[in-house]
Amino acid sequence: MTQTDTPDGRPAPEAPEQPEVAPRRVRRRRSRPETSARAVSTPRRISFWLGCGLIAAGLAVLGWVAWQFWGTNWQSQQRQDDVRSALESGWGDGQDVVRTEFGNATAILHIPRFGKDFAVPVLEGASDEVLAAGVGHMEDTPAGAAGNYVLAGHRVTHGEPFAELPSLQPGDEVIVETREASYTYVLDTGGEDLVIPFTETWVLDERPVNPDGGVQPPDDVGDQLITLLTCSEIFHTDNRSVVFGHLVASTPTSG
Amino acid sequence: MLRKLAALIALAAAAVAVPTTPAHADGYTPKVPTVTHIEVIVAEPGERIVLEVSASADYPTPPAGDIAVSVSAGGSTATGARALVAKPVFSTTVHFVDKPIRVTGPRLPKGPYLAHAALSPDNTAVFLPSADTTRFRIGASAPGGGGDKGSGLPNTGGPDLAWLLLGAGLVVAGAGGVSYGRRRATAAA
Repeated sequence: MTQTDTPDGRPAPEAPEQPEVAPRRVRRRRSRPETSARAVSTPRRISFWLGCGLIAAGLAVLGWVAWQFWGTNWQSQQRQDDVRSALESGWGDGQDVVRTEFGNATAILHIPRFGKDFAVPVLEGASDEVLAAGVGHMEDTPAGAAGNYVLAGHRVTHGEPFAELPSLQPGDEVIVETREASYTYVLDTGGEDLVIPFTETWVLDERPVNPDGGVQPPDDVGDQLITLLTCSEIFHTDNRSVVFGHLVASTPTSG
Repeated sequence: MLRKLAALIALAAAAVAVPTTPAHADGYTPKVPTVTHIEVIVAEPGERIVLEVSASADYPTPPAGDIAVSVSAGGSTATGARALVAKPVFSTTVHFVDKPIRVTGPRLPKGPYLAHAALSPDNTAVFLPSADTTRFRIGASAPGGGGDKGSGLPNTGGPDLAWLLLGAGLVVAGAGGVSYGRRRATAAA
């Protein structure tokens, strides 16, 4: 691939007779034939750039997944703060229901097992926007009233208010704070006691009765029930984890 | 020994004397069972409910006939039996031939419902009638963002695992392509 020339470009003598004045050797790169270079470069370029495109697409998909798991949490924490502030401000003005850009907020949910700072706003409905700004109140039963007060929240992404729902145990307290009163419910079932397909809407009934005869609210706990539900797995799933509880105390809000 | 022999003879005589039903004596052809299907397509607050009904049978031709569709309030398990006998909030009859039929009902208030479909075959000499029921709830989940496949408990989980696998797969495949291209270049040099 190289040849030996004298500095002035002429070929070196075949048998140097004078070793003490040996010529300086200069290495020169010989270029490949043009036809060979073209034949190799085309598939190489295709493979290289196709690979770059696939990596870019893969990173975009992974970036979206990362946004779902971390970005939406950050975004929803901001929304929850906004709704909570609006709710407390509205309560101060005498409004029971406070309209926000994400939905109508009615209460703040406290679950001591999730930490003393756990305070997530409750909004009416279960749309994507509602669930991205707090916990969704699904049915028409108001907090503290006879019936089933159903709350749904994300287990992962979008603030994940119910991330620790499987850790709930019977006897844990769930406190729903409204403008008029704080309602304390006590759970009758644990977070891993009942997992059902999303089509099982009997848990939303005023008096849920398990068609399979399994876990359901006890018969002797009164008519003021609470139901919390969330997804049963980290990734997308058709199954939901459900816990039931009942009202044990109502404390009017002072002032 | 004699007693056993006598018992066997008596048993054989009884078998001959007692009349038995002939299995294929009168050319009787059993009727073909049918299966009625009812599915809730749309069940959202403020929207007209849409149901889809059809029927099938293990027979060369579909079981054509009238399908009576009704929707009653109170589709929970506890109240389902009452809903069947309660006055329906919506009822109609459609004629099924071979394709599923979509039935549009009224706008219903939020709550649980029970949808019922009963097939009365045209050819009653061949097909047996059948029925199907399904429970659904108006307002169980919000349009577009609630249940994964329509009306149901809301979707409160994360993205599908397939997205993570897809992204990782694309990156790995792309890295392979880039590596292949650069290795060829090095080898050629």
